[in-house]
Amino acid sequence: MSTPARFARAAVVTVVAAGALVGSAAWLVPDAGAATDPVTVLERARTATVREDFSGTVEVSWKVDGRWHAERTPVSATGGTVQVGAGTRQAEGRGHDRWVAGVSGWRAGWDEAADAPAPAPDRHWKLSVRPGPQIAGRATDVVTARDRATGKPRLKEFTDRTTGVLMRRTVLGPDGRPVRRVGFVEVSKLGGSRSTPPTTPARRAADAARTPAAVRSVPDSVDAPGAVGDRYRLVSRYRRADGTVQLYYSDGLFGVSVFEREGTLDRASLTRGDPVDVSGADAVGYETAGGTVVVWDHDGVVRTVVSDLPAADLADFARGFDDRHDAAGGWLRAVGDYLLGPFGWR
Amino acid sequence: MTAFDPTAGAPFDDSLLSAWLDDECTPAEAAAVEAALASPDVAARLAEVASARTAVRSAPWPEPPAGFWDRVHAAVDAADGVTDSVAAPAPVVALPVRRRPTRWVAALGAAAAAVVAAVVLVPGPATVRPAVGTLVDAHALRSSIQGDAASTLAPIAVSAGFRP
Repeated sequence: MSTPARFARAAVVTVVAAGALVGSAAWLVPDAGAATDPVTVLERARTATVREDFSGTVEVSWKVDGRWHAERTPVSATGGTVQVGAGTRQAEGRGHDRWVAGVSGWRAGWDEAADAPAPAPDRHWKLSVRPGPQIAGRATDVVTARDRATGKPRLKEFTDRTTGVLMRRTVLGPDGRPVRRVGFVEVSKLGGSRSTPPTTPARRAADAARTPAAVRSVPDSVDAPGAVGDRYRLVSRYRRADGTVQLYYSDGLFGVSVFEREGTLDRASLTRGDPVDVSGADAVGYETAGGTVVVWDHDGVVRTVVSDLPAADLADFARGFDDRHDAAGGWLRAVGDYLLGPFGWR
Repeated sequence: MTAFDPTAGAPFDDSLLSAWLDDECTPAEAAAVEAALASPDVAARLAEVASARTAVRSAPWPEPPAGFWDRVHAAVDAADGVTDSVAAPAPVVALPVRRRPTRWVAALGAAAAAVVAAVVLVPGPATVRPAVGTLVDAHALRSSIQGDAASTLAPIAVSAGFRP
């Protein structure tokens, strides 16, 4: 065989081999465009509103006694500013500033940065990612978080494959069935060129002094365990204008706020809810658009916990919070109380 | 004492001058003294009395000699038939029993007073009426700091009021 012929045959073999390699790779990976690292997908979704512009309609749905409730609201992100709602029910966020509009106009709602990172999402959850369904006309990847003990799925986050924007968050109950969902039902813009952020009216910052203030310690009269059970870690402490202490716990995927205020619970003032047993205390539970709520009092402190956790999980959290409090008679706590008690803070 | 009657020509009692200076005269005596002062002689005597009073009142008190008051007390005791050294012990006579409040009664009273003070002065525990809707929104605001802002803030826009 002549030299040119040998070169020609080698070239053909090379092209065929390369083609076979690419073809086999595409066969081995079901969707070559799908993400493969769930932690990366979640982090990309968490910060997408800073990078991407979008607008559309989000539906918030939650299940009460087996029946779904749903509300829709317009949502947009422009130049890093997120706006939700319309009229007298609006909220806006930029950086770590938040404003809320009500019937009396805008007011500052939050201006504190997070002072500690939340636990990594795969610390307590077994995560996986695979191609998801189309949502509002967009291709998605879905990250599923499973309970490491039971293997049951407890959370699904669907993200836009192109931009990484969170398209839907579905919370699943202990039986693996959905109990709460927040997600786009319509997208009019997603990705593309970025716009200039809207101007924030000066009036929105007028009462910034009323926003919660981050604190390093809480009054001795309330409890603030560094962890609840082996899952939730205390991330931040805040003191609200009315004296209420807000503690924020996270397990990496679910956040829980604990509001504590000295006094006795005026049960007559509460809307009728579901009875919940929290370590022997008669607590009251609610399912709202914004999350599950449990209210009770313990040792002269009224506690309200809020989260998008399912009711059973939030009740477990509440019991864990109280149990930890009751079992905290160890020497370390005693020493802390002795040293810091005279200052009224610990 | 006889009332002074300047019209009767009776002699003037100089003791009235001292009483008049001390403002201790009756109205009638004062009127008599003031009428008599029209006489230069009486006026001169009033000046002498006033001067003497001032001299006496401004004089220093003399200190009694050492042991003076002891001797006075001894004399008084001797007159009463009592001396320190020979005084016979007086018979012990049981006093009539006077029931005093027992300690537990006093303690009970103190405790009752403390309870009353506590009720009146120390504020009781505050009654808390959790604004559940506000707290739910506060949780959403905090969650949006470390989570996806759109999905965490959206419930605020739909949860008008508190609707379980």
